[in-house]
Amino acid sequence: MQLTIERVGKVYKGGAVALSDFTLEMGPGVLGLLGPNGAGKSTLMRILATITHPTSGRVLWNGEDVARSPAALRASLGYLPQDFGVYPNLTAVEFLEYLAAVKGVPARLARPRIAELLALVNLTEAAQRPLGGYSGGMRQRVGIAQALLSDPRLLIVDEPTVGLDPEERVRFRNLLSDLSGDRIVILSTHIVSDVEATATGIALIDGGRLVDHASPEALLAAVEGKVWECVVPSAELPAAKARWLISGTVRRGDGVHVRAVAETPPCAGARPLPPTLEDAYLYRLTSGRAGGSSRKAAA
Amino acid sequence: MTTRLLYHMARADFLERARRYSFLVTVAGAVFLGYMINAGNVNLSFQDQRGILNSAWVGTLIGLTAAMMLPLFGFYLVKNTLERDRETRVGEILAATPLGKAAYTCGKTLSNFLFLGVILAILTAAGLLLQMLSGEDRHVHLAAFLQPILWIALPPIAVVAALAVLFESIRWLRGSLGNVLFYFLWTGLLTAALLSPALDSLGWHLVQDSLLQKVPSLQTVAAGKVEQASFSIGPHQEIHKTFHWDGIDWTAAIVAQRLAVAAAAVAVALLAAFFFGRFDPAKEGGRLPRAASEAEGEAGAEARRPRKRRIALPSGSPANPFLALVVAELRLMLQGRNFWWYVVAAGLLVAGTVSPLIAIRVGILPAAWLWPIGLWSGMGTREKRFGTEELVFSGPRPAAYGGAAIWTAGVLVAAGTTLGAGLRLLASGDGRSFLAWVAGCLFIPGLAFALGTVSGTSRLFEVIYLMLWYIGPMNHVPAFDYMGVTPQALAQGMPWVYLGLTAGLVVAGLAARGRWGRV
Repeated sequence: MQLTIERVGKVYKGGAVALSDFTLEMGPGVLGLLGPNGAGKSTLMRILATITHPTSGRVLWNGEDVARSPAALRASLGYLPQDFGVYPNLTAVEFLEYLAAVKGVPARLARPRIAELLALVNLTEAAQRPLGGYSGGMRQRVGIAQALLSDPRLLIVDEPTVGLDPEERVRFRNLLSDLSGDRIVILSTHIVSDVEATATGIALIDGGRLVDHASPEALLAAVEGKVWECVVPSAELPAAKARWLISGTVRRGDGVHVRAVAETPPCAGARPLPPTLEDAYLYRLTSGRAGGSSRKAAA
Repeated sequence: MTTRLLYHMARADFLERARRYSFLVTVAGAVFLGYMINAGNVNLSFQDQRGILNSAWVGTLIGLTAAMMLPLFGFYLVKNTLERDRETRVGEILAATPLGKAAYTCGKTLSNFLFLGVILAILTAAGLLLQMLSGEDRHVHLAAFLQPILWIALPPIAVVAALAVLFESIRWLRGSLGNVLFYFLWTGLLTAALLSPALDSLGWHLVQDSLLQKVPSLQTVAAGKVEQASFSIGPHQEIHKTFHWDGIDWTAAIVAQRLAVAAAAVAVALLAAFFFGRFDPAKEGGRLPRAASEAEGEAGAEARRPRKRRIALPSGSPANPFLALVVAELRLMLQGRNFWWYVVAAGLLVAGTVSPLIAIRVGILPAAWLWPIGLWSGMGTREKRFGTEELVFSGPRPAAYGGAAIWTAGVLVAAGTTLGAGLRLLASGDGRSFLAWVAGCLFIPGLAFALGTVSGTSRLFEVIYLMLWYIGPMNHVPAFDYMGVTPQALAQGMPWVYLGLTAGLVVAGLAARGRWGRV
């Protein structure tokens, strides 16, 4: 099972470049696709989900070009778009029955699978209520259930935990981890902690380009010894933000505890900290933008 | 494309529609039409003769009523199924499934067909009631009753179900332009069907030929006069004689002819698949999709956050806030019109300024007040359509102030596109015609505002306005001549009537907007 993205580019009408020369190869596991707003994540997701075609390059599913023959990939695909909707007057069961038919799930399997998935996403009790009355989080869980309807080999989820409460978020992360054994799961998000909890590989995307593709361990190793804590007075925080690459701040009685990513201690008395994936993400993204030698990163 | 797939596609779509409030309104409309038939307001006759109300006659009456009327209204009722998938964004989920384009358009056509079928079923029940209540022949022959409904009504309904999907699949036919074009397409098809047996997709000539063939008294009437049967909607016609007619003989040739019309529906549905963009954002609108501007990120935002600074927002308010609101509404109305829209509007404006008065009245004014239909039809619907209700209705005086601004912007469009014509009418000293022009400028946006606000959709105005425009200014029926192109309308004081109507419509629109804001 292999998904290959070969030099894919996407230019929308009007010349807006969403993706450029993007190359990536994936096997079973959870790939966390991380990037800032407008980085091109959703466009890439749409191309992988065969909703839109790349303007250059190609995507191969087990060696087959999906633009030419999308059927094989679509039959193996579960897709949760970032911004999806439901038919508000259908119940969750009716909506999922409809999508099961559309996805080609055999009739004899559809009902038990729907019941199982609704239990998995904790919606059994609300299953016969119209979707229009669901909260944002409940709708998101319906979206997760529909993505899993066809027992997909390739699962693409775009910002799946948006709107979920902390308990459901943990539940979903665990679900993704459980699913990933023999499938390719692509998790696009800007929430680094989601990726931290589930991803076996991480692709960083910025400005429509692949900045890095590495394991979480490798990304963390790259920033090892470069994360510091400085305590600064509140009044000096703006100046600190201007000077350092800051991944977090906490106000305490003795001042603001600033978590900074830098090659060398950014302040007198800087305390080294163990890096998190968020530190690694910021460091790699910033250095990527500055051609590998960010002013801040090098500070 | 499997039967199960088609079943589930049609079922989900149908249930989604049938559980909406608007479905009840549709059912109520169908029941009203059924009542009209029972009250004798829908008639089929041959000069002053008609058939006794047996199963064949009543079935044919229902079949013809449905074939002639249901497609026109039905098109506007069902032309929203792809739009729903687009707006609810269910389409993006569907696009990532193995669902083929042809399966999708055929499934949606089937759903449209089922929806229209419900209306036909109500009319069928009304027909049975008519036969029972009239007492002319209470013996129900199911085959004689149902066959005309099946073979006359269902094929055109199927074609319209497919045409609605086709129009939704083609980008430039999705909006007001498509609605206007369909109106002319359908009236053209209706006219062709009535005039020529070769172009009769509605089965009208089948009925007429059968009547002439089977009823001797009609042959006498028709001899030498090439008389035709007539189908009318309105008060009772004067009937002096009734005759027995046992219906059309549904021969294999006739059935094949009707099936050919039904096959055209399948062809149209498949043609729609060719144009259907499968919700590809690059094909749908050509703009960067909404999700490309992704939600604010935690880490990325932190990395790129601008330096904190005190923000000093400009304070104060516009000198004339109402005028500012009108200008804003006008900009929203005109937003997205392409260059050629303005070229045609400018052409009509110039023509209205330089043409002879008679040409202005009968041609230029009606054309100039049809061209901006897409601008007016959005009035009162935008908040619902674009999900901005909470933003707009949390502002100051959104109902009265905002509603008045919307209507005023519509009036400016009506006046602006025909300013030359209006000034010419004034300069000619024809005060009544000028008053009619003023009434038109006020009435059209009033109608659009009221219907848009009440229904939340642009289609209701488009359908009603098109019919009004076609019957009144184009066919010179004075009562419907809201722009005063006929001397009779001016003589009967119709401009004053429409000015009064305008006041009622604007008040109704404002009231509906006020209620909407409180929901």
